[in-house]
Amino acid sequence: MEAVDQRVEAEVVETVKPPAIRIGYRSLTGKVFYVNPDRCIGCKSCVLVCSLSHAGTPMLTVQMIGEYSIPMHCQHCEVSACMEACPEEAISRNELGLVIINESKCVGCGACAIACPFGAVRVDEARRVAVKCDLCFDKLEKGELPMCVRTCPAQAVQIIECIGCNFCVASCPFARKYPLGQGK
Amino acid sequence: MEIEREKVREFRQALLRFAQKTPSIPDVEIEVPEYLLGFGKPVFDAEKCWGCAACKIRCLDGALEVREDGERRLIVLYPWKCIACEECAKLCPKEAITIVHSINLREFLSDEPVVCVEHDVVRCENCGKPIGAAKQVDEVFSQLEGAGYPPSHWRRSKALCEECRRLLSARMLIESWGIELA
Repeated sequence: MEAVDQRVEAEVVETVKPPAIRIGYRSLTGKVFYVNPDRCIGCKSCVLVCSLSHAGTPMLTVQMIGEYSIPMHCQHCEVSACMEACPEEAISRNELGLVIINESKCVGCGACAIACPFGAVRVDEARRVAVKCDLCFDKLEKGELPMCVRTCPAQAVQIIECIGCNFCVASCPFARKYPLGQGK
Repeated sequence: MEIEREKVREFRQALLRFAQKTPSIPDVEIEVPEYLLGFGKPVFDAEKCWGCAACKIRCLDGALEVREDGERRLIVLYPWKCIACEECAKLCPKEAITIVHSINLREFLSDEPVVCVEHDVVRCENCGKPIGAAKQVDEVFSQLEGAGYPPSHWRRSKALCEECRRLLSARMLIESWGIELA
C-alpha cells in the first residue's frame, strides 16, 4: 500500500512545473540590494568600475533627474519579463536567485530589451549579445560584494539584510501586488 | 570544411574592382555547385521573420545591414560580402533564414545592397526612437500576456524606448522615497 502511494506522489511531482523560477535573490538569501536616491551624489563611479569588471561594457546607468540621481541596475525581478520573452531560453535564474544571461546561448535578438519594463537590458553591438547587470554574481558566490557596492563613496548602493518591511514591493513601479513574505 | 575568410574577402574585393570596369553584367541566376564553398546567399521567409536583426548583429562579414527608411525597417544584404557560412540560418530564433547555393550575377558584382525583408517599426511615444520591429514587439507582448503578465505591468512602459523606460522607472523609484521631483 505504501509503495502505491509513493508512486502516485512521484507522478504528481513530475507534472508540476518547478516553482523555483519565481524565487528571487531576496527570498533565497534573505538579503536585498538597496539603492538610496537620497544618498546618491551622481558621481558615476559605479558605472566606471562596472565597465572595468565587465570587459569594458557598463551594465548600469545613472539617471539624473533634476537635482536627484539614481543608479539603475537590473532589478532581478521575481517575475522576470526578459526570461519569459527570450526565444532561446538564454536567460535563467541562478542558485542565488539572480537573473543571468547565458552569452553562449544568446543570439542578440533583443526580445528581452523589448520586454524589460525598466529598460535595463540592451543589445551590445560590439559583443553581439544582450547585456545587463549580473550583480557580479561570481563575486557574490565567493562572499565578496559587487563592484558598485564596494566602490560607491556615498554608500547609496548596499547589500543589506532584509527586514521584511515590503518597501521594495510597495515602491516597485511595475509590481503586481502579490504578497511575498517568503523571505526571512 | 572551414571557409578561409581573409582569402575569400580579398578575392571578392578584386572581383568587385574588376566588375566596376565591365560595362554590362547579365542579370542571370547562377547555380553554384556544393563543393565550391563561399558562394550563396540567405533567403528570408517574410512570414516567419520578426525583424529582430539578430542575423545582422551576428554576421561576421558585415554582409547584412539594417536600414531605417521612414516608418519601415529594412534588412539589406551586400551579396558580395556574404560567404554563405550559414551562421545566420543557424542562430535565427524564428528559423526564417535558409541558405541557397545560387547567386545573381548582377547583384553579386555590384556594390549596391539588396533588400531582403521589410518590417514596420514601433517608435517610442516620448522621444520617437525605434523600439523594434512591429511584429517582434507584438509577439513579445502577447507572449508576456499569455504568461500571466497583467496589463497594468505594461500600461506605462509598453510604448517607451529603453532610455525613456529607464527615466520613467527612475522617476517612480525616487518618488516612492517621498521625494518630490519638479
